[in-house]
Amino acid sequence: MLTLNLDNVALTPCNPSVGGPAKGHLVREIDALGGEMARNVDRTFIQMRLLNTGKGEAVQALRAQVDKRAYGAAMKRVLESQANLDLKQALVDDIRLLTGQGPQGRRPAPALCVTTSLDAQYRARAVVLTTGTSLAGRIVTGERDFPAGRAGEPPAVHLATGLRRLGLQLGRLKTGTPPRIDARTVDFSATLVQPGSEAPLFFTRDGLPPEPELAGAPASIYPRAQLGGWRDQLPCYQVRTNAQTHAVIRANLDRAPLFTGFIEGIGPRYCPSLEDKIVRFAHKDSHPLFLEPEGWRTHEMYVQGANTSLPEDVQLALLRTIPALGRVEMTRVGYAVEYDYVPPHQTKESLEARAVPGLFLAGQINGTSGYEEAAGQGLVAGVNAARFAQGWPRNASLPSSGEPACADVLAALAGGEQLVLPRSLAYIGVMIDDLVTSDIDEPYRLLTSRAEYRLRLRQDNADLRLAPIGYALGLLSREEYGRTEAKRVAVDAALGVLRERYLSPSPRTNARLVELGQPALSGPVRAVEVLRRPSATAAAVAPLLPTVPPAVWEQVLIQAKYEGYLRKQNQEVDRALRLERRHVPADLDYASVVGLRAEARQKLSRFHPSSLGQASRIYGVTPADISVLLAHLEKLHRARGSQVGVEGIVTHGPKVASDEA
Amino acid sequence: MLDDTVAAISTPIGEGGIGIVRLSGPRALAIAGELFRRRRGLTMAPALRSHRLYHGWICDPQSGEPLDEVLLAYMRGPGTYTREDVVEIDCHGGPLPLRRVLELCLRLGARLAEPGELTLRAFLNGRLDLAQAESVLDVVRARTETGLRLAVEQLGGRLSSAIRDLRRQVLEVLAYLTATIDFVEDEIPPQDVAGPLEMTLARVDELLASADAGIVYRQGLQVAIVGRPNVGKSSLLNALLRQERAIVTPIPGTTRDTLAETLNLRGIPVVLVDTAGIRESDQLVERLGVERSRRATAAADLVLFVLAGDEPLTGYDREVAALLADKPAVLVLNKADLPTAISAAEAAALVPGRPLVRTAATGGEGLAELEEAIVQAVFAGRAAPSAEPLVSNPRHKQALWRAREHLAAAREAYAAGLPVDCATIDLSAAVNALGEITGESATEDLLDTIFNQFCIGK
Repeated sequence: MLTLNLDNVALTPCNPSVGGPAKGHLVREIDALGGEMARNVDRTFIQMRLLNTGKGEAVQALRAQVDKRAYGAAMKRVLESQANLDLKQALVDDIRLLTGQGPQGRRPAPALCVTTSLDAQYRARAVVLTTGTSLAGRIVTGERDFPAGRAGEPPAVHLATGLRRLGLQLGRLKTGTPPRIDARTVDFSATLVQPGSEAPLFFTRDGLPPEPELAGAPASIYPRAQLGGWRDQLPCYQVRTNAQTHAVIRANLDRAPLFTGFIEGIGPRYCPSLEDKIVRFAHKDSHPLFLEPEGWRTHEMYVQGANTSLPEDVQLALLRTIPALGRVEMTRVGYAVEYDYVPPHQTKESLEARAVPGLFLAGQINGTSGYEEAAGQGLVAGVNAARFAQGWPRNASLPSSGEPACADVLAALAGGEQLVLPRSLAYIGVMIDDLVTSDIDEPYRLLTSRAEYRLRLRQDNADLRLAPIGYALGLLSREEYGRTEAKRVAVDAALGVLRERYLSPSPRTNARLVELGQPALSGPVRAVEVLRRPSATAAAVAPLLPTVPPAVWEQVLIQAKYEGYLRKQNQEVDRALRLERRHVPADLDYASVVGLRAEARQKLSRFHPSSLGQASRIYGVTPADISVLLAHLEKLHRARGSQVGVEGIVTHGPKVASDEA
Repeated sequence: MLDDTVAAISTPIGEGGIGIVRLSGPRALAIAGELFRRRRGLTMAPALRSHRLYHGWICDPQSGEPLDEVLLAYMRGPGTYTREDVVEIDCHGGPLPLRRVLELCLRLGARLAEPGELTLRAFLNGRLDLAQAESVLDVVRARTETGLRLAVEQLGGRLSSAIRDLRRQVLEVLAYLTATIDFVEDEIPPQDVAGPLEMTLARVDELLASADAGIVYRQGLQVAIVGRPNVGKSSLLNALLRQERAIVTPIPGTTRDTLAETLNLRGIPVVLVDTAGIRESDQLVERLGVERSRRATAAADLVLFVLAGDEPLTGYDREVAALLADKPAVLVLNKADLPTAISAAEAAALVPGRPLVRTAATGGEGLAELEEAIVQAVFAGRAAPSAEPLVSNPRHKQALWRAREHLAAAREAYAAGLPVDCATIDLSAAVNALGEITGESATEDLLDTIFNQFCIGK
């Protein structure tokens, strides 16, 4: 692992926070696949909340505030304890593809050469490139700009040239971060306190104790700290902008690089700068801001909602219009950062760059934003890079799954193909599929609304969805996998009993129901019906089956409540999978497909979909185009004399090694 | 897409003795079982044996209402055209019974076949050989392009703009609910959900009711009357209507600036579309008029290009003539009863190769010749009723049905206090169904709506 600054691994350069809708789902999925993020959050969070509690289980999500230093330090310890991993501090200047390298058995040759700024060279079979905002990064505050990827770090300038030389086309995006302030200059009495959860919440199944540096008293400046409960937590504090704040911003728009044309990259719409909000929503006379502690022992606070690239004096002036911040001092100035990315139509769904065999891309280089999005991609890119380097190993003895989408993935892995998670199985899959089928022209953030099967993709069932795959990849221990499978069996068994068993409106049953806070029965019903009542809670229905543990009850209750909707979504998934399983060859020449409309031809050539399902999601490709494509593929099959019929299975993945061997 | 059951009308459009609705796919027999009765009043479907012809009635399974008396044949796959289970229903000819039977099949779960899909299935299931594959592709392509043209035309129409409005309303409700989920810590001002849902549902019902009329209107030969203002287009229309005793359905104009009337011209159902009608004294009228003529011409199977015989040709006349390109057309030199200012040669040179008829619409002269010219155009194969509208309109109606079901489910989920995530699933499905008509994509539109409506980014 080469990184710019070894003290900054897993740095959270923006918000000291992990999770939220869809992002929290990602963290759970990463955990279910054996990834590290959930564990690291659980060791280092200083506040945890469950969002969307009233809006249904499918969209509920955990959100944590983490201690910035502890989060990075804990992750560094994980890296240091990883066998066979060397950590090096280095600035990568170039990546080259060496030609004339023959394969070595099943494995590809180490054909990639990474050069650092000090002229050290590393040969590699596969490289995972995660440039963050460093690729040709440029930081802008007011009228000032300087080359940097993050405040205090040099950008990777030469690397951008190297990537272009490899044939990759680069685009430019922008993001930003708010000022940090000194908590000792905040009047907390004029803020609204946002406490953490009273009930225990963790990203991992059983939770983890806090890191030693989080033990003991927090920085004494934060009022209403929650100490002595299930976990020591710090609150966040809400303040609001006002007419004066807005006046300061309006008076200085001529110095705002966003509006003077000094910044050209496209910023994310879901994370606009404060000046942008005030211009675009001129009728709103106040916006909320959240003051978030950056750590357990630091006085620095993050001003969530105040992303800005206004000049330093304006940033200070606008903060000081807010009553709680009348005497505030900034510790770090907010800034915008522009950086290069590789528009992901050039990337395969394995996250390998199509033009550079063995080069895998993850995170902001693919046009995304967010730690969780980056982590999800990092996991998939890492797995596929490792499998690439091993010559796409086959493995006949993988676990099986009764869930069709999961079974497809396991079959692909067993057959030595790449790891691709279907949209119907994971948010990670939704994200990567979105990336490789659409034009990404603003930093991409995952949202629950992007997942069409989101009732299946809940954070509560990430383990049930993905544990077989995590185990198959060797990332999840047999014990962890066994625990998840035992839970699956217990849930199914309990649901089976509840579907079979009738409750009759006997005085005894009704008295018991009323005692549990449930409406009495007027006639006999299946027990499962009682679970579907809006008033049914795990605590209320638990006495129905006293032997079932709470974690299983949670699943039983959710699955019973959503049964009708889930059945519908499962049917949709089954239908959709048939198109997903129809493989489209990577080298298909769309110019030779008779009958495609010009727009479809152009879009398909641009995105190179791997399956008919993916082709159908490309904007501008119509069902009629899909019919034409289907007929063309069938014609190709027959011309080749292939016996693969209509239900042919997708054969994902480059068979580089076996072809060359 | 090849594992579901599709339905289509397999005979040409128009008045005929019989017409055939064909079902193909694994559920063909099951659907037939639901809608076919051997005797009036029976509630049970007969057990059907393969390759036999049965007499009976197609009944709406909900109301029991008989729709048509039919002959029905079930053919078990693979010994069929598509190698799938096939059911053929011989209905009475005429667009209405056929359409109602087709719609019933769709309501029972069949999907409307894509253009050329039955042939495509036959090919994919190994029924056709490789040589035939090329022609299948040609068929799909040709039909697709026509379909596309029609879709584009309909986008200018009243139904499409109504559906766009409707879709936007649903999208706004969905955007609100989604914003509260995805941007939970932002300030999303509370909005009414039940009210707008009720309104959109009522509107979908209205559209479904009017879709019937709309489909009737689309049946038959589309004839557009174009020409510059005051050449007598309206009087020509009125004269043709008066001439024909058998007016089938008088339908008010489909757009504010056109008037459509259906008549039966010697057995050919004809829809006359008059582009005249509004504010001819207006300054903007020329530009508007040309634009209107362009649209009417594009949608028409046959164009009646009207010139006033008593006035010299104008630039406007030439502009309209230029629109005709290779469109089947009849040149009508009207006001033949007044002193002539245009020679026949001059007029004919404007649109070469098209028949010319002199009329005096107010006095009824030349109308018989005009009718003859229209009929000739049809029989000479120069103009034919479009086959696609019948296909494309039930498609729209099917999409509207689905939108209605999803909206109703969303309303129920919301009213029952089910979590918001359920309602958003139904609403997305409704937006998608409506988007199939207008060809708009859901996710991006949803995000655009959210970001335009709410200040996101706490």
